[in-house]
Amino acid sequence: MNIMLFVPHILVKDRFDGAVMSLLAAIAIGSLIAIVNAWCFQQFPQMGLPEILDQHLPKVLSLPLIAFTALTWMSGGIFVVYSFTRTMGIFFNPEMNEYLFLFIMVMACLFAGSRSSRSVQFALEVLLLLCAPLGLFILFKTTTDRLVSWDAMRVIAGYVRHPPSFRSVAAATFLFSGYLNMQIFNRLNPPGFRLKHRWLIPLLGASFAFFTFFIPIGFHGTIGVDQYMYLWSVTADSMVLKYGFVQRVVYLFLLVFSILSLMFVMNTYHCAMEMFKACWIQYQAKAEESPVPKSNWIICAIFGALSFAYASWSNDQKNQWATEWWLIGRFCVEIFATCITLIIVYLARKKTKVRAPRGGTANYGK
Amino acid sequence: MIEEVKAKLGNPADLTTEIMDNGYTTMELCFFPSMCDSHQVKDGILIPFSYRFDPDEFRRMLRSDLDFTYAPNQDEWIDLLLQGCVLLQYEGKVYCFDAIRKLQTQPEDTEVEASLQGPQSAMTEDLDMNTYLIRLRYNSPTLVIRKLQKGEISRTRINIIYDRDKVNRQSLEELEKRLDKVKTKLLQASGQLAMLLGNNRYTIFPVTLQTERPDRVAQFLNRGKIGLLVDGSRFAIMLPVRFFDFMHAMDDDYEPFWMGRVIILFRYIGMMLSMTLPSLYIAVSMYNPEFFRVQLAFSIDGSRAAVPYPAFIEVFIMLFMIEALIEASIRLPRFVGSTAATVGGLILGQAAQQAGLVSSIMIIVTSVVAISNFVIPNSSFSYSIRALKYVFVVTSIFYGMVGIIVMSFITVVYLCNLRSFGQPYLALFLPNDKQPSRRTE
Repeated sequence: MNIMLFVPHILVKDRFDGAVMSLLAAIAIGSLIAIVNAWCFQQFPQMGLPEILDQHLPKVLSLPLIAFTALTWMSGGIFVVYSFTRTMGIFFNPEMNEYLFLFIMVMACLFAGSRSSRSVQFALEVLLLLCAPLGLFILFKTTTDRLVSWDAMRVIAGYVRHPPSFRSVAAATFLFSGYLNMQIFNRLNPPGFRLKHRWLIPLLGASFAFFTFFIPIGFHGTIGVDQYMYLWSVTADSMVLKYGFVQRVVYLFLLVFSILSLMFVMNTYHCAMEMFKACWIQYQAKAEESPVPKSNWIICAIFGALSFAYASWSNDQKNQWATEWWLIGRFCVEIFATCITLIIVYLARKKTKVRAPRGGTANYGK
Repeated sequence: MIEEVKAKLGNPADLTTEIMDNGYTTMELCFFPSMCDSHQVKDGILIPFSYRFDPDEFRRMLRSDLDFTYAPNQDEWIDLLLQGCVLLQYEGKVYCFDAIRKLQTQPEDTEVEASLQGPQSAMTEDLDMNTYLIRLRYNSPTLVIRKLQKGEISRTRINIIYDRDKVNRQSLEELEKRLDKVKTKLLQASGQLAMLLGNNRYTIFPVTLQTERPDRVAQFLNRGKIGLLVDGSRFAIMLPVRFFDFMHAMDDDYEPFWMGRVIILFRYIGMMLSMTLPSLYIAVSMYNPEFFRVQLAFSIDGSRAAVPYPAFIEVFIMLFMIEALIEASIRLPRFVGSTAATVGGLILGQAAQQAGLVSSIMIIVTSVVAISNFVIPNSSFSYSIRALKYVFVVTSIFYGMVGIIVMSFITVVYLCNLRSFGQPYLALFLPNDKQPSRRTE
């Protein structure tokens, strides 16, 4: 997903000034944040972020917080929709009207995002499993390709001693933002739920980080690499499938990629929608609702309209600039949010300790 | 009694009414001969009343024989008669004798869901026979059978069957709620009931599964699902179902493990092909010829050289032909059916290609679509796939490759969004052993 949001592009720009160190730093910080957050959310089974904030903070504090998180989610979704439309326009149908493209994307995401949390989660699982073999195949292709210059990667890796830049760290930690899903999907987790295989987070994150950063360098060389805007699509285009119907790997890549983007946007729309709904006064969190309430449609339609507005304002440069700021902003928000959840967990635990002798039933610290 | 019945029914010609006198006493008798089994009437009533008459024994028989029930309520009489009972009045009391004529006395052979080595017997159009078949296969004391009637005119009998211990309570409640809402005049087939019970009229995918195989019903019952048997229909409705159930044939369980898996895999591939192939053809020939390798793109375009109109018109022509052919071979009498297939498939296809109306690749595409559609074991599900194909075609006309990708995404989301009686339709991990989805890409 990071590929869409110019993460590799940002990293590659800094490749001589500490991108490698930033990557390492990001792996440490990112995994730490992800694991701490996952642990925090485990203390509140079947509750999303809005409910947790509502319960432990005064309304005045919690409402702006929720609204702010929702805004972050929403803008992420809008950026991705736009970048995706651009990529598809360039690589699939160059002569097609951009807004027509945006239309089908927005319609799909509108429909998908307005489903109930449970449906969205099922869809994520299914689609991820469908994409995984193809994605792994592409990764396999990239590493075994004859044309990859391992020397170029080694040269860049040699710049490891440069101090990390804030921008790169912020961009690279985006890889670890998967845990953000828990803000809403934690509602579905039963009490006593434990996230298994937590050690996988740093491992997978690190491997993806290195892949996204080093493979393009291997293909385009240390200097040529920063000439491309849609870096990974071009990188995938450097590969050829000798056998099979499809010759250019870029199409396989775009296929996986469009599904992943759609998934991401569905996710962001959905989470933003749930958060905005949580700002309403009479709101009950539900993981499962059918038929889909009208408010879902309306909120998602607003997101769709905003996407159009953004597309009409933006072009490639502006989009890149906005995305960069979004990544940095998101990084700050994440750290801030982690602190808040930690404080809340601390408060909740203290409360339980006081209540426990009196026979309180709340057992958060299970 | 006879006067009352006649007055209520308007003295129909096929109603037999008689006052019988055997020399000692009289008995009033009325029934529809067409609906009753005359042998049973003879053995059960006429012989004890005439040749072997003994007032004491006859009275005892009326009171204790299982086939006789006391029917004091006048309002019930008509209903009983219409169901095929014999009404008789003896010594001032009205009894009803069960002599319903049964058309089926044996299980039928499977026709729709054939199996190579599995059981060959299928359900019949008789409810009691079906119930027997299921009791036979699912011989457990926990099997519950509940009776009800639906349809104002047809008054079709329905049996709800489930395993008391294993059943999913939530779905059962949902089913009861929906059954209460079902209002119809004539209920003739289980498919009709399935539609009335379904989510709403516009769902593309079926949320209940119809099967004619008792072994399948038993297997589903064992998994905690609920079955509905409708009188007069040889299909049982099973619910709740999941997406994967539709792609599963009973043979998969009777064959060695890996063979079964491989065949299931083929089925999924077939489903994907039959859904996306026509739209892929459009996308490749109209928008993205560079998607495939050069040689393939050339041969597709080369075969289209003689075709004077855009690819989607070609696709519509061929798809219409194949749909018409399938429809015709279902509706036609069996003797003519094979002729239609030969004429349509072989001769017309060949001629259309030679005349330059369609490309030869399109003929291949069409036949692959048709064949792989038949691979889907459940017919109502294969209808859904058939219909969905057109949605793909339409999006690919406007968007090419991207349209197909986005449509497949929407389809998956739609499937995940569906609920079959409260249960998720498409889900990989069921809620109790679920991992959170987590993306690190």
